[in-house]
Amino acid sequence: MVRSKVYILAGLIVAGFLLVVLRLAYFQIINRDEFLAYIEKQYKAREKVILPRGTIYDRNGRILSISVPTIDIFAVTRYIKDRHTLARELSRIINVPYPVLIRKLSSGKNYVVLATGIDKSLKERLLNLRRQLEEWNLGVIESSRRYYPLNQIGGTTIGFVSKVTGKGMEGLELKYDKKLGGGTGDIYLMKDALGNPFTIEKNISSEETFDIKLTIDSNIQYIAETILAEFVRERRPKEALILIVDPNDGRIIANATYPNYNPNRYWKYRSHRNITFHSAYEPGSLAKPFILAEAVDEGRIDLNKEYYCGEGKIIVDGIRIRDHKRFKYLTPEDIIVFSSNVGAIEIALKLDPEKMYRKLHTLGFGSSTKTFPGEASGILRDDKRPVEIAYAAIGQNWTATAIQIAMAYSAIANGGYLLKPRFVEEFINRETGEIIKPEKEVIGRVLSEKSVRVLQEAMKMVVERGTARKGKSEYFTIAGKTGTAQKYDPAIKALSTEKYYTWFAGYFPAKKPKFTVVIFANEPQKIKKWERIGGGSVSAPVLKKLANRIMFYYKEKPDKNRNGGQNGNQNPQRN
Amino acid sequence: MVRETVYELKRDLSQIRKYIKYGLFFLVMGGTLVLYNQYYFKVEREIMNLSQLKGQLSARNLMLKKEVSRLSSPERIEKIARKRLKMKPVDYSKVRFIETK
Repeated sequence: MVRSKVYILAGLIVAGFLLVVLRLAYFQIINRDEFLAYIEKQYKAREKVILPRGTIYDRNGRILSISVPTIDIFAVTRYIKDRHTLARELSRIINVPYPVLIRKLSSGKNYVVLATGIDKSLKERLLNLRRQLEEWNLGVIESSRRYYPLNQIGGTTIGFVSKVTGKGMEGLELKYDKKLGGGTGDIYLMKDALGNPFTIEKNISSEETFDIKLTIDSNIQYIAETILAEFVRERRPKEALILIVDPNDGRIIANATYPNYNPNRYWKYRSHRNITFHSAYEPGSLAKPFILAEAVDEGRIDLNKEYYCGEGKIIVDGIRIRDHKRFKYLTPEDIIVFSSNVGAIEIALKLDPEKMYRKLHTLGFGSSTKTFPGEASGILRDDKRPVEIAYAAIGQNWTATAIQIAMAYSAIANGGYLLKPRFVEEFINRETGEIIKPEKEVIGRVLSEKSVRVLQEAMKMVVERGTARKGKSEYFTIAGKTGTAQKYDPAIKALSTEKYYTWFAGYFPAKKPKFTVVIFANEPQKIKKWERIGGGSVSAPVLKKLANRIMFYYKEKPDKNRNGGQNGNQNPQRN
Repeated sequence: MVRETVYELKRDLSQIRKYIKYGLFFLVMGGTLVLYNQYYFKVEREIMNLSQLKGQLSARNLMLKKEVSRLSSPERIEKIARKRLKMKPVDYSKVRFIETK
């Protein structure tokens, strides 16, 4: 009797469990997908959040670009008990107008994004508000926003990240997009069984990401930008730039461009071009030293002989090409020092055209350095007609980017080696802290020792007594070359006599070069009516200020005495 | 009638006594599991709280880093140097270099 009762009871319990198991099997095995889809639809919503990216530092460890933590605020509108109170209270905390919030809360959508990119320090206040109002369907999700603490300093170089996709859109943010990580991640918002907040499921891939330390020095960048801004105020060019590169290892130290933009408000600017890399211009007389180098290497000129410079003009293939002065006889060095067009053309016409163009190509002209996204290659056609060779010798009819010019002039400064320019000092693994240092990349020897010696001497004289004497520093030796290229004017279908590209490219200190500088302006304006626009009058004066300020920043001792001569290692000042 | 019921209950009890050690075993096991569970949840909550704190501190650290960068901006420093401290840009003619041996 007792045993049978126990068996009946046990049987009932087992049957009960069996029913539960069967029901569970029905939900979880047989109709699993259907119910999952139902749950997804009813209780889950997918939303994208912006993921933090690696930080970009300058060479001194100062932050140039950082992802700061923010919060996004969501609400499942149909479960909000009192929309008006919530909108009013929320508006006070997050500083978003009440009408905007109430419109969103009354939109009739299942869930709405009330605000994004809100300062994360407000999170606690928001959670308190949720508790007070018992609005459990108000959600707070962590996200991030890219911030550039130095604003427009280095703006065109650093670039920016889209505030919608979290991906790099321009500049180094685009170039190193994969290394920096970021982008968006999916999160699922879900109301749990107790009706409590949201449970959030993240679906974020965990790829290896890096912080990046650049070769840019933000102090030098600032100095360059300040000097460029002064220059722009004075000369009102369409575009202008100052590029500073280390000639010994190809590090780009500063790149100031006009126009520039503030990456924190990138959407307010029409153009995001970085003219140093994106635009190619005719280099004008900056080409002449390379023609002289080829002539030295081919042994086609006597460095001590004086060459006839046409007294202001030369006719090639029936086309008259003018000089800026009526030079009679000049040595090859003085052809560079005084930038004689006729002299340079005379030398170029003595050369093997194939070898001359090969020299320009090996110096990096006509092909992109692949340092920056969307970088231009410039145009260099190997046209062997004498008139084209003549124009090529004076830097007309072919174009080069400022970075190509900087690297070619760095080759003169460093003894003849063409280097690959670079922006990155270190990649730092964000998880492991492991540091990867990109190596200096030598593309090859492009100038012989003899031609380097000739060019270095000639370029020193350009600044001391030649076309760039307005850029001569009282304290430091500078070597370089000015360039002026006439712009093609479609209105007169010829080269303009009013619109110019003006250049200066060089390096300092001349004895032990530490910085290669390129200073460029597109259509600078005259300050005085009688003034003649040219690299010497426009770009060179910028050089003096730049050299003095940079060298002082690095606490470099002047290498010149007060009389203007070189001082070697002696201290030029009286103690 | 009552005596019969009592007798029946006693018989049931003697039957149940045979299995009581198993019952006690399950009870102890259950108790242990409950205690373990409570401990497990406590530790998990602590881990969650600590991760939250870590997140908050990292966020604060990032915000402070951002603030340091903003405050050490060369533009801001130059403005302070020029306007507040009345400093002037360097003139090399007034710089003296001291030789160190």
